[in-house]
Amino acid sequence: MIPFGVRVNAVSPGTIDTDFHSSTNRELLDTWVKGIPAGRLGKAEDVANVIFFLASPEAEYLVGEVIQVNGGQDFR
Amino acid sequence: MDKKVVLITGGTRGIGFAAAKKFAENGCLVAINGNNEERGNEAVRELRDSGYVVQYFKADVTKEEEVENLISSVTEHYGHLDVLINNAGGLHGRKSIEGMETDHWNKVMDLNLNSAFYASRSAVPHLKKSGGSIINVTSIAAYMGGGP
Repeated sequence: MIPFGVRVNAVSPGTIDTDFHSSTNRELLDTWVKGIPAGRLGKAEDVANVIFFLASPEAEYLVGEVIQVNGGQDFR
Repeated sequence: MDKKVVLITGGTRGIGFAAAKKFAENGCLVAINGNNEERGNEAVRELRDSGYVVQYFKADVTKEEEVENLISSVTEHYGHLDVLINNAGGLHGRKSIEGMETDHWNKVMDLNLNSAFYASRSAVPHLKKSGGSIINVTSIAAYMGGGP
């Protein structure tokens, strides 16, 4: 999109504690938390902060990037 | 970011609503999209109570025409568009591949993938003018299958 002057990036949330998981088994979520280095599920604000950053002039040099916001859940 | 016009699909709750709040707190003019009018009005009420500039735009993002109208309505209301957040998404329930009907698959693709295509296609002419940006909200599920 950059040749058109439109900057595109993505954010990839991990397991975020919102209504999205209202019917996810709570015991399962607790198991997942044990494997998350950050020690907790994500909050909606954790992801919103990164979305805001990507839209801001401070992120002008990020193009086609995917930022993982998952507390290290996929960290190997 | 002051006075930037930001449209968030699926912005009435969860990550979308949190993003709407963050943009609004920073002086942006926010357009919240969702298909549930009650939730949309509630979201707008909460943000306006804090003095923010926000408007709810109802649209089913799986319908091409509704998305086209959504972008037109937002740009008509605010005069232009600076940021599109393709946040609308969902699972319609968890199923293993063996138990997944084609209809379910298509619904999930419509909501998560096609919606972003429809919105981006309609928004790009406006974003070109404003030198704006698109942020796509994907998921760890793209890498890990979303768990059991």
